[in-house]
Amino acid sequence: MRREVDIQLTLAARADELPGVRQMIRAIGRTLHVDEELEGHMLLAVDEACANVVAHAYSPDHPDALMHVRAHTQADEVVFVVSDQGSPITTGKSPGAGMGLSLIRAISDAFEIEGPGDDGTRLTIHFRLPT
Amino acid sequence: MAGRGPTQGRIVVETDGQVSVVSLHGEHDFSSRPRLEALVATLLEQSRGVVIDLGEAEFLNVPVLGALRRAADLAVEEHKGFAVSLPAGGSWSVRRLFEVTAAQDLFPVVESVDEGVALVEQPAGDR
Repeated sequence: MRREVDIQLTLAARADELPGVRQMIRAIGRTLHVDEELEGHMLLAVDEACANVVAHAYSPDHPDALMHVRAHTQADEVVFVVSDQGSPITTGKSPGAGMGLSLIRAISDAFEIEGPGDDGTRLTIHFRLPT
Repeated sequence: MAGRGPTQGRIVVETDGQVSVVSLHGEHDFSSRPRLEALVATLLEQSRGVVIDLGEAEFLNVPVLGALRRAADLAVEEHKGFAVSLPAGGSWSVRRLFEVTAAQDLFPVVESVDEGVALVEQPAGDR
């Protein structure tokens, strides 16, 4: 029987929160019994999505700069949603953001950006779980 | 599974006055970038070049690659040597990051510290 996860974190959009996000991804990898390759891809992609929020989503003086990270299993995949209430993340915004989004696209099974809108910007990253 | 847990990032420097070797241990992200950039800039002033050793690095992200690229650009400006050592036995995620981002196009990537030191010690025109 496949194990399931459904976890949501709300964190300050700061660099010092990234190790905690990676710790959560490692815990999910252990729970779902994924191999080193899939866990490595999950780490790189979700860290990069969060790093984009930290670097690009908010102005430095924003009073309430938060990022939300949700991880849940559905059907045969694990899905990570990284969202914020800041400005848009676009591939053309800066070289760093462009490389990060290209990395996420290259190592995930599917990847979508929604927003910005009233609910901010959401990156949804899908990884197929082994059968 | 304690062996799979994160290790806080540490930077260790060894220098013989000619070439400096900067070893990154554990995980490195934004938090390491300012120190790494300042350290490499100082070492480039004081030596013939710098080798970054990633043999003990467990995790790097794109901002750290950006810092390595800036360090490589600075080395070129100052006519100093610069190389990044990524051994075959290094972290899988670090190797994958380098592969997907084509990091070898951003700065010289070698497979051992010795190879990096040899590259850095070459006269600028031979690198």
